[in-house]
Amino acid sequence: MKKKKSKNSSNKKAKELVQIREFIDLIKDADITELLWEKDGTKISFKRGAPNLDEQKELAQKEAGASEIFSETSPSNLNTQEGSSQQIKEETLPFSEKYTTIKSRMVGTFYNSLSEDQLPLVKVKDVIKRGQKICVIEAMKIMREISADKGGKVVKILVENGHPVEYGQDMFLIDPYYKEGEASKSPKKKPVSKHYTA
Amino acid sequence: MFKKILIANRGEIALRIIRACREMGIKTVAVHSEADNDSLHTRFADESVCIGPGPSDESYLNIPNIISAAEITGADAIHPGYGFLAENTYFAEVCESCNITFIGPSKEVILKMGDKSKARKAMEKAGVPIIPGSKGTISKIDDALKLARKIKYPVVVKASAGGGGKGMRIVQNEEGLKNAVMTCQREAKAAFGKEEVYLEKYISEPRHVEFQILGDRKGNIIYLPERDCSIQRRHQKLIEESPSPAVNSKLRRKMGHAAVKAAKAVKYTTVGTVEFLLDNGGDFYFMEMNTRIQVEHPVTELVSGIDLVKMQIKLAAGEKLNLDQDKIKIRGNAIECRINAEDPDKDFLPSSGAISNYILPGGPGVRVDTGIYSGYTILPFYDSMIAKLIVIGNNRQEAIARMERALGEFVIEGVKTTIPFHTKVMSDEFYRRGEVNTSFIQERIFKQR
Repeated sequence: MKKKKSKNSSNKKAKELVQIREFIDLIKDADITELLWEKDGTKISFKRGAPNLDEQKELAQKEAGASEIFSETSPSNLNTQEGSSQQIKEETLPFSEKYTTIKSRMVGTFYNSLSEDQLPLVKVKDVIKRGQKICVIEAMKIMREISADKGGKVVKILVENGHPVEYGQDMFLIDPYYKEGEASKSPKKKPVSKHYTA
Repeated sequence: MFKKILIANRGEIALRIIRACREMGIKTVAVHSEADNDSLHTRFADESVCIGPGPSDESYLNIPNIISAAEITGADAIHPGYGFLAENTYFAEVCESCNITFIGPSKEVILKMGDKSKARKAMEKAGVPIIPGSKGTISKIDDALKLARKIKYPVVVKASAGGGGKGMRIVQNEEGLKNAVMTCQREAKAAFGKEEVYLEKYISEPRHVEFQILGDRKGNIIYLPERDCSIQRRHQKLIEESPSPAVNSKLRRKMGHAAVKAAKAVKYTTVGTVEFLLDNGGDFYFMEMNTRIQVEHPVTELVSGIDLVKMQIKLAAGEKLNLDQDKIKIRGNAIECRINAEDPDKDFLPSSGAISNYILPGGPGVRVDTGIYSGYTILPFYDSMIAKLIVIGNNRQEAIARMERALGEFVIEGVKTTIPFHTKVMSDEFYRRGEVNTSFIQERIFKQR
């Protein structure tokens, strides 16, 4: 549940961010390491993983040569610097790739234990399994025990005990790659290079 | 009075209710789907709660999540708007059991008026004129044939649980009737879960004239000037106006009294609408009663000067109706055009996408109720009505001229809309003379192409 939020940020900029985010998701989901998109003189190139510096420089130069990203709409801060797309990638990818969240699928009041006199079902640093009871959500006076839809290590509990949750709200921040006895690490994907031209 | 109202709806009607609440000093809670995160109702309400994903059956029809949203925000009443849960008896019942006021009639009244054959019976008993037809539902073909012979063809077969023109068949002869009863039963079973159908005389070329009524818990009921909603396409209203060009003050009084009688028969205690079919000879027949605030309520607001949404909230809170029937005046002519995101050149195919350019009409006598804005994306999940353009003039001629002017100013780019279609209707000679009936669009506008 949220109280009034201010949404004064420029719509266009938000839209561009969304577009960039979509590209990032595309690369991520498609299990590819590189994407080149070209349309009406606009060129966007993304690379993921850790390419060598030379490659990165080359790419930045290439891009600077081509017209500006999103030149059709408006010049935004995002594309005034060389290699800006890489910057975004570096900022957003590692986090979103490493951690995931367990979201609420209903509206109600969040409780961390089965009843007031019991210990919390889940604490930070606990390793949980899929299907394990993790919290209780009360809706219309009915207490519903909620099971985890994914397993991993609990990095953070994002809702306070007794606070309301809405549909789709993040409740638990999870490190899904954590294995008992191992240090947390990100998945290793086979690097594949593909170019897409639209 | 209520402290906080949850609005179980979206789009322009959610905004309309939020506006009324704000002016009354009542806090508002918007519920929204994930697809409506950036919608105006989500942004303009004091609080918002996400209740599910885009498709309506998982969000705006998700009763447990809506009730929970009311509970966690401490809302003491729920306004259902129109559509979605507005005439859902189960929802009204759940609200009651959770001590949340449902802003609308009791579940008994919704039940009685939602079932067309029950409503008919109640109206017949109360002395409200009804279309000759079957007493209750019919199940045997023989009964249908016998009755049709008596009331004469054409007749219409309707599903008891239907509405908005769904589950209806017009029949010209015995052969057609046999087929229609069976198809109608099958369709009604599939669409509404009940195969009950009934039969009545088909009134050809009627006008759709409806009366807004207001009632309180003390039994006071009044009617407001009628709305003529004859401009329809496939039984969906497109243009409404008040007063009707076909109703004089004598007929208005007569129909108004019938509407009040209808409402009194079910002890109506809120805002509602009694719909009539009006034939060429000035005879009128009860069609149905809608127990909600209607899409076309603004034309009545402009003509009567009464804020129907505020009135609805006050009546739900138990306030007395402080309006005198004799003091209700008609303050001009109002017209509403429903602007849909549909392509009139492609059989009104819904059009979704982002609004790239958007300019609202304005000036004297113009009102726009809408939930869209520049940059807004029209979603395929929901109703295609994106705006209501309403104008008032000193007379019908001025209202039409004003509507034409406002339609010309209205710019919505990025999606196809019905604005050009409305412009065409406004310039039609028959429309301008007020010579319309429910087949006007089919007979007059489509055949001109």
